Amino acid sequence: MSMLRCWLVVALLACNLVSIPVSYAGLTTEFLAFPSVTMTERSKMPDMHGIDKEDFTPALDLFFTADYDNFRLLAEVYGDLNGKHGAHVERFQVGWLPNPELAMWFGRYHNPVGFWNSEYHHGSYLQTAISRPAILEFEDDGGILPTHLTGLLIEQTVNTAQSSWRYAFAIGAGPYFNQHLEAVDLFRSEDNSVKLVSSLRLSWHPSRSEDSQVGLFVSSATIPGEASTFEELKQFVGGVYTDWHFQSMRLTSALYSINSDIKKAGQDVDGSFINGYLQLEIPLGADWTPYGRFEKSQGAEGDPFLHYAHTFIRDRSLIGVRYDVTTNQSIKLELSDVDYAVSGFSQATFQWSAVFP
Amino acid sequence: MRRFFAISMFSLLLLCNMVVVAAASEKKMVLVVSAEAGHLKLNRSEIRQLFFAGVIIKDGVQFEAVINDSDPLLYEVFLQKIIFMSARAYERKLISRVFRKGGRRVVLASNLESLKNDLVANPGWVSFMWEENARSLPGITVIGELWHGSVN
Repeated sequence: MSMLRCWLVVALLACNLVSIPVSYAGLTTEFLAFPSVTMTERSKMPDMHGIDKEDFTPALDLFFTADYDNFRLLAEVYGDLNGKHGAHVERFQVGWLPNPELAMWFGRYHNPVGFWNSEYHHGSYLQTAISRPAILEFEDDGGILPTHLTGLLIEQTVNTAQSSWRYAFAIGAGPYFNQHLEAVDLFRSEDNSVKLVSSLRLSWHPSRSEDSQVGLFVSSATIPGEASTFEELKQFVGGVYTDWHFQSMRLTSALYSINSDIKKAGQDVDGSFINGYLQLEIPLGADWTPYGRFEKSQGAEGDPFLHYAHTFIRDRSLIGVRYDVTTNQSIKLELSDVDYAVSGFSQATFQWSAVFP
Repeated sequence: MRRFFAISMFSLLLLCNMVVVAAASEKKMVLVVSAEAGHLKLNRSEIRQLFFAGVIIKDGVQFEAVINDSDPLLYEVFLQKIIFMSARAYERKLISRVFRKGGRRVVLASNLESLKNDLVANPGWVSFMWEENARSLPGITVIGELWHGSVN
């Protein structure tokens, strides 16, 4: 972790000490800390590069936001203590919000490519499940889509009598490929060239006071590759999603169509595949939430980019349960069958997560 | 005759007692703002939206929600009858909103007197309380009824 990032973490912690929350001369701040401890045990697992038979990951996600007049700052720093991920500034955005319905952001943010990525960010506690859908894994966790962009993000809500429409438009510098996708790091000088990624998401919310929504999204990315892999990947993503609440039950699903065009040694190779997930949550009382998720890829063997993305989970089925121990702490247990390109195995994951203050 | 009179008196007392108990447990939860902002109106959907989002704008007026946490029974009725969520689910949702978009968490007031002071000082701030409290606090006004019924 560079000195600058160390200082940023220290500054965020200092903010915690002085601002829970602070409101001074028009300045308001909030600070949230999301600690988590995750343990995973895998069975019948062949040797795979980048995946261990067991994992123990204590992690901390720190979030800070400040408002002054019509301007807002968002910062999120995530780090784990087992050295796999290190510490990264995941979001660092400065926004202009002329009214509550419109926000224009500059900085590093989460790409609005679907629902999950801009709903939960890195806060494990807030999502019911332990794992994210594979299609939306972060770049350094083996993800295959640009999940972090650095540039401009515009979000707007247009209200009708009962419902509302929302859109998010993003354009910014995307990742490059070096063994896996690597997003632009704001606080580290990089030698790698990056190119533009643009995304648009449109969603409809049937009720302004409820959470349900359906939406569609498109994203276009050009991703430079390391010399030993490919020169350039052109990736086009389109899809639909829903997050629907039936009384206390919740259904979240998305369908992605991914087209990849790889330029290597002067030749173009293209292919496409479809990926989808469907997650159902059925709360039992206030504390217990059993859930299940099914993920499936179709035509993945024909996509040229997936030949380079060895740790992308193509298919997965899982069941799990979340127990809310207190109003700010939960424990979760998740059992899953995962399939990669060359092999598959079963795994059990246990997680404690919380939010403070 | 004396025995009949005694039984009648006892029954009457019992009936009176039941009426008094029923009346005592009848409660009305109301929406309140500062007296200065008494002309403001919010419908049911807007009230829910306000207490989820923290801030809404209606007819050019900015409303900000304040959760009255001074009475556990009041907060529980508010969650059950207005929010339709458990406290854990609701608080998770409020944190989730701040985590996604930034901004301030919905203000919590754990003391009725400080809540009154906050409302009076900030026209546009909206909260809820029992009607009997609202009537006894100067400087604030009721702009709608949220719920009424008997509570145990």
